[in-house]
Amino acid sequence: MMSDPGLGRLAVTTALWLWAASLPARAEGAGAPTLKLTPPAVEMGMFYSGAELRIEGTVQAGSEPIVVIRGAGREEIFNKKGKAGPIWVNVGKVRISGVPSLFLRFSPEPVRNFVHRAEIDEHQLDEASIRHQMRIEPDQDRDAIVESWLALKAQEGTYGLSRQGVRLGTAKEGRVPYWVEFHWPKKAPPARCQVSVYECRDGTIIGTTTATLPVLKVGVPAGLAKLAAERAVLYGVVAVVAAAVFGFGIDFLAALIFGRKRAAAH
Amino acid sequence: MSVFLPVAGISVNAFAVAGAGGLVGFLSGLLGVGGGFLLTPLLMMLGVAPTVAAASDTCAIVATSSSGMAAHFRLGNVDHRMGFLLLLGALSGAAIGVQIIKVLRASGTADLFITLTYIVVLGGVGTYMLVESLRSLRRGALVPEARVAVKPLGVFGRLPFQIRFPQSGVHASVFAPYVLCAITGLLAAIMGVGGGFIMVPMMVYILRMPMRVVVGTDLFQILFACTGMTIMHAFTNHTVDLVLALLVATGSTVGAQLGARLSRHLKGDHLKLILASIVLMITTEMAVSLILRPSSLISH
Repeated sequence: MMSDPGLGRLAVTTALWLWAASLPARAEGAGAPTLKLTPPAVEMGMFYSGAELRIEGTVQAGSEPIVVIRGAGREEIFNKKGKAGPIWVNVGKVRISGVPSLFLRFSPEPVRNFVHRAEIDEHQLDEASIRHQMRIEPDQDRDAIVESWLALKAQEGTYGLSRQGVRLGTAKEGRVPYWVEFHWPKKAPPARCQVSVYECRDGTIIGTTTATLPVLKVGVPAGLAKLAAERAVLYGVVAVVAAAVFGFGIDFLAALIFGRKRAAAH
Repeated sequence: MSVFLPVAGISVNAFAVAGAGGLVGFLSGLLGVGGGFLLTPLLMMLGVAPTVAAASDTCAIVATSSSGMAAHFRLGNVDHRMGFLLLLGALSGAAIGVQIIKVLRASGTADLFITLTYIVVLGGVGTYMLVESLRSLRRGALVPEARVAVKPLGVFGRLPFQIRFPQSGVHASVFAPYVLCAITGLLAAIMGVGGGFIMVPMMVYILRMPMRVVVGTDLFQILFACTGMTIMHAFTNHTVDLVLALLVATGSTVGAQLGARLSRHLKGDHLKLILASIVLMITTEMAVSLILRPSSLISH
């Protein structure tokens, strides 16, 4: 029996959204800010090119919010270039860990203006604190490697600081609404990201709320990625057959358009 | 238009990828080179990880070479007998090359060795082709492409088990194409490329095959070699991105058709001159990048 793939996809998507929306935002501190994500998940379908994301909530009147999105920290291995005589070549591997795979921070004004340095470092709220936390093995040419790594991340759009990204509304019943609207970077890889809102007052963070933002493949890309990972040989054969059929198909079309020509004598 | 690549895990501009494929496919159809040495860096510039770019290239080359080979087949430019011997030789050489790389990686000198091999081989092949094709063009129409059965150059013409390759107009030992392509396959495996840009000059200058048959025959062996490589990449590394490969193939198959048709209107020496210029440009770029300090000290 054939099931309707469109209905199936709709059901999976709806279930996913309901699940993501039902995840509770974890709140810490007396004056915990509220947090809502729209949409609650970033879906990477066939024609995905990033997504428009809105993060909103409220903080107590007189407080300022900082919104930070972090990808799970994982060790990344890179080739390291160095000099061998007069030439630059890869001279080994370098392992970088202790930092999030994605870091996007939004605040209503420069963070140093309203949060103490110690708090910034403790909660890893700026580039300096990330540099400080970064583990590099082997730890040679640290400064140059950190700069190269940050440049690489900025190029991908997965590391960024927006100093005027958070908008504040008018206080109502002792609470101020805030919101951030931005385009989710299309080069950010699939991950379960953490969205945190820090409520700051008198240079101190008085409350934090965190929610999960799933960034995941859906539809055809999810199916192909699953096939590639779980049935690799079949996937390889399918890839080769598809490529060959495509190539001969184009040749057939070209022969129809330009006409078939054969060598006169051989 | 953006398209999400399921294995690479990123979104790319479909027209940029197809455009890169079109350029490489054009060269493939025109010159008989697979184009991997050009396509991998182009895809990396578009944000694709090197391992995915290299593996998906081989899959895209299956499409490009099928299209180009079929076009050349109709023109009578494919020597199957020679093609199978070349393929056998290339696979044997590649197997040895992979083992050499394994030893070099263990000793920590692989990258330096690969880079220097690139410059020496590409520089040598490119310079020789450039000088020879310019000299030949200066001689003008006095030297037409050989149509009488000829023997391979030097010692390769004196090896035993001589047979005739009518499509190529060559009378050669079965060992000549096998040994030559084993050397090519070995170098290609060390350099991590398909080897068309080494294979084509070897067929022209040592096996003395006419340029148009060289192109079709090389595409024939590339098709089989890349089929095997794609399945191996998919099985061992899980890095073949079918969507990326088909996007590249969309451009490259059309490019290959145009290249194959243009090749009919160009002299063999013109084709050699174009290939030599491309090879020398890449060699120069590599040599310069070795001397200048890189903008980033780390790379994927």
